[in-house]
Amino acid sequence: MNDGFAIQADSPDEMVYPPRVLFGIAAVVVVASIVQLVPSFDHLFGYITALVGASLGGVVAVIDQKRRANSNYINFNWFSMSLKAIRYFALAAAAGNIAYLAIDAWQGKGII
Amino acid sequence: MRTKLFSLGIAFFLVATTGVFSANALSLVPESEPQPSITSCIAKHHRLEALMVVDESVSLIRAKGQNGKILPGTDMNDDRVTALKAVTQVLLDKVNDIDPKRRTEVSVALSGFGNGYVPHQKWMDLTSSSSTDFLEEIDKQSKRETSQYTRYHLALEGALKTFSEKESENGVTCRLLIWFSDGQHDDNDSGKVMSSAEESQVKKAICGENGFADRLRLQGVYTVAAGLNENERALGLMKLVSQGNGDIKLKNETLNSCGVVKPEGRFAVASGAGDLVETLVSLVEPDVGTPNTQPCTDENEVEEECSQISFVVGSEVSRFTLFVDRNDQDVVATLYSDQLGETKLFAKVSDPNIEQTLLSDNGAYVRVSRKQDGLINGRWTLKFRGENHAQARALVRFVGEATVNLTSVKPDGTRGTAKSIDRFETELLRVGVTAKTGGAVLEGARLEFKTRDGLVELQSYSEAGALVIPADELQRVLRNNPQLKDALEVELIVTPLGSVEGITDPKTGRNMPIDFGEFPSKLRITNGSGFPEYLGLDRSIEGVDATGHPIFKGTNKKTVGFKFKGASASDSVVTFDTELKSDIGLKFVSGQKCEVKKVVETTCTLELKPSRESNGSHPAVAKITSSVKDSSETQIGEIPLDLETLLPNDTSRGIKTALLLILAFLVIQGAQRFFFAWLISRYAPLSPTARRVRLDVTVDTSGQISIVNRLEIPVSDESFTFDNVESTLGFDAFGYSFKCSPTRTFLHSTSSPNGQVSRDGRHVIGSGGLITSKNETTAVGLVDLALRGQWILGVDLSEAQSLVGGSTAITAELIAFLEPYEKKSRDDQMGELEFTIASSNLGQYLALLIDNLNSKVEVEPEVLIDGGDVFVASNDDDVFGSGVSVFNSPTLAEKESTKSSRSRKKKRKDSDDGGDVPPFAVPSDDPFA
Repeated sequence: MNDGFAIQADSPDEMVYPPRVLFGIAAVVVVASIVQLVPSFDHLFGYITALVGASLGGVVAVIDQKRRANSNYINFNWFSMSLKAIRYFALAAAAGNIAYLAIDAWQGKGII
Repeated sequence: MRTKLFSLGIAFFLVATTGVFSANALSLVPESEPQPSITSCIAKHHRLEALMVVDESVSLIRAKGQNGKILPGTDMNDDRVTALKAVTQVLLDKVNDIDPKRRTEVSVALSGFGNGYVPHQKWMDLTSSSSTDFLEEIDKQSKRETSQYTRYHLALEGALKTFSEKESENGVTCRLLIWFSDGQHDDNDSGKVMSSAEESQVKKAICGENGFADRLRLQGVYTVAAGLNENERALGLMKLVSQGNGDIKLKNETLNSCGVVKPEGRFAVASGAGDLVETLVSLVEPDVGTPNTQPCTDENEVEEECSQISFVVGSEVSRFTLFVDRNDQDVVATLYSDQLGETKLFAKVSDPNIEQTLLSDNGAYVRVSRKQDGLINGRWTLKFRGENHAQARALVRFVGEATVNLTSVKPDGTRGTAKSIDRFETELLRVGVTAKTGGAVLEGARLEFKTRDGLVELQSYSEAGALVIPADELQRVLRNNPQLKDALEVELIVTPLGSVEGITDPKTGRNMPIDFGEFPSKLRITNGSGFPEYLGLDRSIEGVDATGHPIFKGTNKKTVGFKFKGASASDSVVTFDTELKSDIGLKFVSGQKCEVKKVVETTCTLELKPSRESNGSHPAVAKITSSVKDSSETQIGEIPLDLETLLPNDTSRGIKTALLLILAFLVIQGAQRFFFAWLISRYAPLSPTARRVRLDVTVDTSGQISIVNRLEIPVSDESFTFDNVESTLGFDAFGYSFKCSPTRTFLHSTSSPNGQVSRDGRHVIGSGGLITSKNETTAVGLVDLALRGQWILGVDLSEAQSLVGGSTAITAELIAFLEPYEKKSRDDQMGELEFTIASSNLGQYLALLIDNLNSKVEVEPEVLIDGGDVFVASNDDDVFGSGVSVFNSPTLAEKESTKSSRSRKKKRKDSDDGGDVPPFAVPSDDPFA
């Protein structure tokens, strides 16, 4: 038996949390993109923020995934659900802003 | 009564004109050409899109002479760059106009042409700050001079595309194409005589009906073309496209017209590069002049090697601009003012009234504005000192601000607002013009009626500080001019005139003019009270602009409301003629007849539609015939319309934009996802004192597991996890191969990636599920990449077959990853492990494994040649095709989800058979996680 070994990879006292700050930033960016769905607002900005929000959501998911490997990881039930929701919202905001931009282009305005 | 009044009017006019004759005839008011349509457009809409399209052919730097000798090109000193920068300053001047009413939003773009059309600067709003970037882009033109050909058709096609790419705001924007070239159209270097291809390009593509020239005109583009060539005939095509007159020699004929749409533009040729600034700036801003320089004099003494331009700025001038070309860096240019003193140009200028922008080493744009009242009044002198002073010169432009008051005066002296005049009455019009700065009464104004085909000048005389258009003159024009004799509305354009003392424009021989802009006013024309009176357009109709004119989008119809006041005696009928004069093929859709009750105001509502797509302002004339009930008398009238058109909606552009944005989204997200997949597709590191164990177990089909001997585990079946102290793509443990595929993570989930565990001759079930396929002999287990607490179950093929055969319990081996024993004892962990596995979905995993094995048995037997039967697996479950590895196959949970939806109805019917499998707790994918 090798019970005498006392090497520790994880510090037992250090709690590891999901990346909540980055999640908050991603949420704010996605909310900003959703706000741009108001017809008179800037849909190109909305599209770009949706894109950034979706990317940040991806980064948050990856960081969270990495942290989960740690035995001191504190799992919040709300976190993964909210992250999933934020990423769905980013997708919906991107689609909505794309629709507006397509209509603008159809009417002779637009980015191309 | 009318005849009597008419006679009185003539008498009044004759008396008036004996003492004070026509102001325009007597005063020293400089003559100037009528304002081009672009100027009127800018004055009306205050929005301008200016596109510069510049020749980039090699002829700018070298030309072929006789016997192949290389000669210098047409623009060795890059004067075109200075000229374009000067034009930019002219445009910027419109943006920063002191008078807010004349301030204009300007967007600019720059493209080059030669072998092809190359956009260099996309549309940008021109402001004082952004102009620096645009000027830097223009500077780069000095290096763009390598094109072999001069393909006009590509230049015009490209310009058309660039204008169409500009985001169209609501309402009309004025469009200006500034086109520069030093040579004639050359598509294939065929020499002096045009090739067939070139002829076709000129006759069809450029000048044919609906060719590029027509399409530019229909887009409302005013083309300013500046040629640089000693031989003006070589630039005939430029002239034809811009101005409409000119000619170009083809093989067997001479082309002297281009397109069918009325041209809007100007052309000028510079005989040498040195004239380019003046040529191009004059085209865009006609009021500039290049006064001749004089020898410098100081108290009657002539200064040597010095020339000067001197003038007196009066109170009516609000600002003036100078394009200074000193021609030589050794020439010193200095600006002297009575009040502001001396300012050395081409050096730092500190005077707040004077702004200087350097256009080149020898070119500068100087803007002197009236910031503090009176400070710029007085004499100004621009002196050039140096050996080459004689070649130095400056373009000068003076700008003023004015107010115009229009009053109508009846024969009895009653004054009213000049909104309408009667063709047969004897009202006269008084036009008061004063300068805003200083408040002085201006020396005169040009008074013109605008018609569809041009301007008609009106004679006037000065009286008590105002210009008077006598009734006789009004009647003469309104009755006799073919354009106006039936008009029911006319636009009177007042152009205040003024000049600057001491400076002469060599083109006119008169003092340099001051540009006050133009002041248009609409006047309705009545024909007595026996017929309905036209009151103008109804602004309350939906879809019209502030003046009541319709804005057409594409060829969609629009409603227009014409307001009439009924005749004084009886009801009448207004009939609109089918024939409508316009360049956009305007047609009636409905409402051509309209009844107007006597004395009552009535709006006649009509529907109109253009038959051509266009963009911009388009004058049109609607003809009407008014008839009074119970009378055979009729009266013809013409109502001028200023139609505004916008290009129609473009479906393909909408789809293209949507696809482009979706593609951009997918590419960015896909690239990011792949990167993340690659990044996280690794087994996480474990503590080196963590353990992995291999245990013999018995498993029943319900998922209950029993460890055979948990207390005595052989040393060979227990080890530290040294293989996993660092993150790894794969490792082996107890004969099982642990792998992780980034591709599978990319395809399935970056938020819950799985590792796959396999071993030859064994079905593997993992704590995360399993992958089965009809093609593969064995199942592959799935585990979490964290590894902590993960387990796998290896089932021998024969044991699995016994399950298919109906056995309820089998033996298997269990591989588990345990926490370090110093954290939790092995016994405790063993107990927990049993409990964890029992409460997992192992029973369902086993059921699906049995299902999969059963489906392999059910496959149709294939008869071999030797008569033996073999079972061939079908490809049903291999959703990615047989070429894709099992690692890319869908997980059991994914497959089950599809299966369950397909067979939901069937399962409802057979719900009592107990075979329905509940969905798994395997994490589902995010939208793009």
